[in-house]
Amino acid sequence: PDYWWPYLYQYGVGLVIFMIGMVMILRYRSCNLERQSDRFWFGVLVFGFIWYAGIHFLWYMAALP
Amino acid sequence: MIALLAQDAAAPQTYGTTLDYIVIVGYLLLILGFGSFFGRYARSTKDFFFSGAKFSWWLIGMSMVATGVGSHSFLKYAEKGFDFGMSSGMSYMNDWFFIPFFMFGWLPIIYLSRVRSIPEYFERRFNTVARFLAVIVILEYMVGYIGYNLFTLGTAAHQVLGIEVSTAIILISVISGIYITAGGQTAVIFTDLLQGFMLLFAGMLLLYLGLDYLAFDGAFTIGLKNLWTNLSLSERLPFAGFNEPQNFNFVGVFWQDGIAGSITFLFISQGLIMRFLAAKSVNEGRKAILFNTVFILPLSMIVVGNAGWLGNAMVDMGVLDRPENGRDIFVEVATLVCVPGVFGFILAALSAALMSTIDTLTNATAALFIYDVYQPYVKKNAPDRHYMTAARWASAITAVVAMGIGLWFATQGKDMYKLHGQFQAFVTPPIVAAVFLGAFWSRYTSAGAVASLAGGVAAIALSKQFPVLVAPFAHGVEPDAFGQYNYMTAFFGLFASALFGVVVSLFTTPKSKDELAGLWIGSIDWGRRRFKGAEPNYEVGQKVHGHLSMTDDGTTPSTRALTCEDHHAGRFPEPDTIAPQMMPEYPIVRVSEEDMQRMKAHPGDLLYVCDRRWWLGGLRSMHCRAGEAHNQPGQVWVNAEAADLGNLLSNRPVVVEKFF
Repeated sequence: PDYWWPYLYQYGVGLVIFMIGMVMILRYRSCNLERQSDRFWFGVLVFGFIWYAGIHFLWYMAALP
Repeated sequence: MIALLAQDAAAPQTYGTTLDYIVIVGYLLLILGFGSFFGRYARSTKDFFFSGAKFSWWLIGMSMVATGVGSHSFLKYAEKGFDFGMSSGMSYMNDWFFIPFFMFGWLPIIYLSRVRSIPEYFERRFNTVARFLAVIVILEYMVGYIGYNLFTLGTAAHQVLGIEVSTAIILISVISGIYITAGGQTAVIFTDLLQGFMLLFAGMLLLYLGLDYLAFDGAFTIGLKNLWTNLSLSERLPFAGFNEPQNFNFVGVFWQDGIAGSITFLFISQGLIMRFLAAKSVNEGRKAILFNTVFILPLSMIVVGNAGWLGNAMVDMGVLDRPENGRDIFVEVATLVCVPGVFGFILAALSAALMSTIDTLTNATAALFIYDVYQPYVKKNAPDRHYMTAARWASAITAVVAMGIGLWFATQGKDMYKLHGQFQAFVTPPIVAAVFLGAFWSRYTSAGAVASLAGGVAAIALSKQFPVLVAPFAHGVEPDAFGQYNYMTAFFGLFASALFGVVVSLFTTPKSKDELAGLWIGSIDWGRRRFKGAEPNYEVGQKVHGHLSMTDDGTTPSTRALTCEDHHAGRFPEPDTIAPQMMPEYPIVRVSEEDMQRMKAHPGDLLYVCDRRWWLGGLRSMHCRAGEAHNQPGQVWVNAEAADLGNLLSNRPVVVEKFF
C-alpha cells in the first residue's frame, strides 16, 4: 500500500490544479459550452486526465509481481 | 534480420567504426540540405519567425517531439533508468494538469493578441521595466542553454567517437546555423519533423535490439520477460519513492517538474510559443498540444529511458559490466547491441535531438532580438525587408555566440555551466509567476509584477543562504550534503514570487479592463473580435473544395486596397488605430454563393485557403477574408500577388474553410 502514495498524491494534487483550471475557463467563458467546438475540447480535457490516471493505474496493477 | 542488426555478445566495441562515421556525416549533410531547401519560403519576418502562421497540427505537434528531447535527454534519463528503473520517466507524464490553463487561457491569449515574444507580452500587460527584465533573463537562458546542449553533445562525441569536444561543437553549430539562417522557422519545423521521426525510430530500435539481445536467440517475448523480471519491484513502478532517496524522489520531481517545469515549458518557452504561433489557428494549436501530451510524451519517455532499463537488467543478468559512471550506460548498451552502421544511426539520433533543440532556440533568440531590442531601440519603422536581413544576421550571430559559449563551457569545465544553472534557478520562478498571474488574474498590477520579479529573486537568494526557509515545502525530503533542497527551491521560488506579487497588487491600482483587453483569460472573446476586426461568426460550416483561379475581379492583395465605401458598409473592419499590428492586411478571396452558404460565411469573415495535398502541412496556404460571392461554383478567386505570397499554385485543387 505504501507504493500507492505517489499515485494518490499526483492525482490528488493534480485534480485540484486541474479543477481550478476547468472552473476558471468556464467561469470566464473562454471555454463556452454553448459552442459545439468548445464542448468537444472540454471533453478532450476530461479525457486527458482520465487517460493519464488510467495508464498509471494499470501500470501499478501490473507491477504490484 | 535481427541477427544482422544485433551485435555478438562476446565482442562489444569501444568506439565507432568508419561505417558509423559515414552514417553520421551522411545524416548531417542530409539535414543541412533539407533545411536549407526551405530558404525559398522565408520572404518576410512573419515567414522567418512564424512560418506565416499557417501550419497544420500534426506538423507542429510532431516537430515539438524533437524540440522537447535534447541530446542530454538520452544520457540523463538513461542514467536515471539505470539507477532507479522505470520511474526515470516520471517527468514525461505529469504535464496534463496545466493543459486547461494553456488550451483555453495562454494559447488563445498569445495567438489572438498577436504577441510575438514573451517580453512583448510583459510590456503590454505590465510596463517597459517588466519587458526589459524579461528580455535579459530570457536571452541569457536561451543562449546559455544552446551552449550547454552543444557542450553535452561535444562531451558525448568525445567519449564515444574519440573526436575533440571543440570539433563536434563547431561542426554542429555551423550546420545548424546555416539552415536556420537560410530557412528560419519553416526550416526549423520541417527539419524537426524529420528529426522527430528519426529519434523516435532510433530509440524504439534500440529497445527492440536490446530486448532481442536479452532473449538469447529465443522468442522476443523472452527478452521482454527477462527485462521485467530483472527489475526489482520498486524499479518497475512509474513513480520513485515518495520522498526518498534525496537525489531522485517522487514529490521533488512532481513539484519541480510537474508544476514549476510544466508552467515554464508551456508559458515562457519562447521557442515553443513561436511554434504554436506558426499554427494556422488556435484550434490547430490545441490539437498539437493534445497530440504531443497524450501520445508523444509517453512514447518519448520510453525512447529516452529504455537504454537505462535494459542496462539495469543486463548488469543483473551478468551480460554487461556495471559502468563506473551511470552516465555512460546509454553508450554501453548501444555499443553492446548494435553492429557498426546501426550504432552510427543511434548516434546520429543523438545529434538530431541536439540540432532540433538548438535550431528552435536560435530562431527564438533572433526573434527576441529583432522584436524586443532592434525594432524598438535601434531601427524603428524600417521596411520589413530590412528586418528580414537583420533577422538572418541575428540568427547567424546567435549561432556563433552559442558556439563560443559551448566552447567556453568545454574549457571551463562544469563551473560555468553551474553558474548558468544558478542564474536560471534564481530568475525563472519569478518570471513564470508573473506570466501566470498576469494571464489569469486581472487584478494583478504592474507594480505587483515588478515585486514578483524583484522579491522572488531576493527570496530565492535568501533561501540559498538559509535553506531552512525551504524546509516547510520539503515534504520530508532530506537536504543534500551542502544543506540545500535541490528540488523544492523552484517551488519555494514560485510561491514567494506569487506571494509578493499578490500582496503588492492588492495595494496598487490595476490597469483598466480596456487596457487589458485580450491579455487575460476574461477577455479572450474581446481578443477574438479584435483579431478579426469585427464580430466573430461562430456558425459551424463545412470545408469546401475548389480550384484556384487568379483574377483581380473583386479580389485584392490586401484589405489596404479596399475603398472607403467597403469600410463604411461595415463589411470590413476599419484600420485599428490603437494597435496597427492587430489588423493585418489579409487578401480578399471570393468563392461562390453556394460555397459561402456551405461554409456559413459572410463577406469579411476570416477564411483559410490551403492546397488540397494534406501532407504539405499548410506550406502552400494563406489566411484571407471572404469577399462578395460570385456565381461560378467550384472556383476560388484569388489575387495573383496574394497567391504567390502564400505559395499557392494556379489551377491547383484547394480546400477553403471559415475560421470565424
